[in-house]
Amino acid sequence: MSESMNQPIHDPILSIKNLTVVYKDTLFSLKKSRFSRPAVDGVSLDVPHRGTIGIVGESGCGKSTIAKSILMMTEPCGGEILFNGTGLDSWRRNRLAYYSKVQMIWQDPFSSINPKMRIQEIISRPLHNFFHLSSDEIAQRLHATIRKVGLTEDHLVMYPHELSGGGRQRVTIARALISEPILLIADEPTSALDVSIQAQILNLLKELKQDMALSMVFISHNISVVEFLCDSICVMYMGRIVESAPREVLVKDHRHWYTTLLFESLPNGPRPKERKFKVDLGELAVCEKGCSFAPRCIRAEKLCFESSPDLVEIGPDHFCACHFHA
Amino acid sequence: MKIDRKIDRKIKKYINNKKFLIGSCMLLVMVVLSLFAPLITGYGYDETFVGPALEPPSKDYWFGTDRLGRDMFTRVIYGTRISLISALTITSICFAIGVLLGLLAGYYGGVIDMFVMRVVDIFFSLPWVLIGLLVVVIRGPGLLSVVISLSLAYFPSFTRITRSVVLSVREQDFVIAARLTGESNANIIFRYILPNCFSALIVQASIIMSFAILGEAALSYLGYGIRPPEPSWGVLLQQSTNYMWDNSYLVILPGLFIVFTVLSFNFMGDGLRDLLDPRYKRAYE
Repeated sequence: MSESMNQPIHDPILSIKNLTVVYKDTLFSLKKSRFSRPAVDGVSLDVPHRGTIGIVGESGCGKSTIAKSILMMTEPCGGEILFNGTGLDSWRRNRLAYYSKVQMIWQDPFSSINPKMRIQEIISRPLHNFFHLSSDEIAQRLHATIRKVGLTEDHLVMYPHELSGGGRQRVTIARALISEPILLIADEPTSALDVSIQAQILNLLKELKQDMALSMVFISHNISVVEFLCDSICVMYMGRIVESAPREVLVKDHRHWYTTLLFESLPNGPRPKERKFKVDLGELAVCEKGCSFAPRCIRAEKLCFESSPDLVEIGPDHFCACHFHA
Repeated sequence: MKIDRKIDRKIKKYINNKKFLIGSCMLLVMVVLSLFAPLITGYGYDETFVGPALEPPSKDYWFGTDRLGRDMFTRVIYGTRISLISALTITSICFAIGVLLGLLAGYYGGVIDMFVMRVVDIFFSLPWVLIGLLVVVIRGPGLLSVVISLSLAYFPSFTRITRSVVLSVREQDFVIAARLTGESNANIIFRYILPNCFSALIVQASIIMSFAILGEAALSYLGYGIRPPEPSWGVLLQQSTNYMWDNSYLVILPGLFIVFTVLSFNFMGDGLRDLLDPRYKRAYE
């Protein structure tokens, strides 16, 4: 363990280059999709060491697919992912080493832990699998971790159904952190929780990020949550990054109309003066040739339906994919 | 303290379910009868001419006597032993084989699934009497033949149920999460998936128990199973058929025992299905 921990840490710790993922029809599927859109289409992003990247976007925009690709749960069709300077293809041969350094927090704390296991077993399983530790060492790390996430020793002998949603989410965080990973993927870790609990979990993650020198990919559909936790933010729409920028820049000076829509859809966000976006009725309109957001965008002109805008740098570290970003 | 109360609540939940309570009480009666059979009657089950032959039920011979003057009550309660033992053996064997195959088929899918399920389909399509006949032809009648043939006949239902439950459990987040925590396939199957299949399987086990009792009695009745003078309920019925018009008690009383035992398992199964179904949970708590 110590050997791998002492390896120099590559910066950026995770780098995704031109990732494309397409979900194919199964061999005998009854309904053939007429037009198969890639779930993730040419996404590139870097996660700096100890940095936090937020990915925001609506349901189906490909956020979770990126998380799945990073964790080797889907096979990408194109592009590559480098973790600590090494491609995932080589990590695939050594999954245990990879998963001891890259861990994930799940969206739904009710389905992501085994209801038939006690909390102590749930949390300590990664240690049994990744490292050869004595039972004393395991107990020691178990107790240290459980305190770190704000649970007590009393919780260890309980079963998951005896805990609340927030308590369960703390358990999944403890399970992810006990192997002392360097990269944490959080896939909407607060969206299944009550608002008051959400704040607690977010504060906990922020603290842990500091204490454990974690790099993090934080995925959410709620831009205010991402804003709270992340150094830089990527906004995704239909499998593509449409705007990415450091947090302050994105909050104050967002240029893409979809980012504007996300900010305006916050409960306490800026009120739009007039309705800027067409309301979708039924199936989401898809524009095959041009900008994928064009059917919903009020600024859309003929150009938008004809050619797809590239992601261009419009300021320092500020990228935007819109013909009318100015 | 806290744990005590929790156990209390659990027990109360089971007692409040009438079907489960009645079923388990009925079963308890049968188990006590079979365990303490030698204490309950003074006769041996193959002791002939303890009284006059074909004597109707009386104070001395509660269920009457058969044509060899053997006490029917003694024979019936010794028959309980054979019935329960064979039912338990058959169900455990079916459970072990069926659940293992179902786990493999459901978890790995693909070619393994295809192969296992086609084998299971073959056994599903054979009537159990035919399987019984086949086994008897190969290795002669006896308790072991009954166990083998009924195990072969009933294990497919476990495989089917296990596979279908595994298919739904397998897709849950905690199984995917288990893979991320470095669990091996064997660990995922036995620590994560199997414990979450149990409630469906326990219900199925209680149903197969009653099937096994009926099956054993039927095979013995046909002469493929337990042989006389061993007092299986099937044997008792078969030996009494010649006298059933004049001495109907000879068939009615063993028949009632079969009904009673099968009903006890069915009630228990029904009750367990309600108790273990998470959707009913709130109603009992």
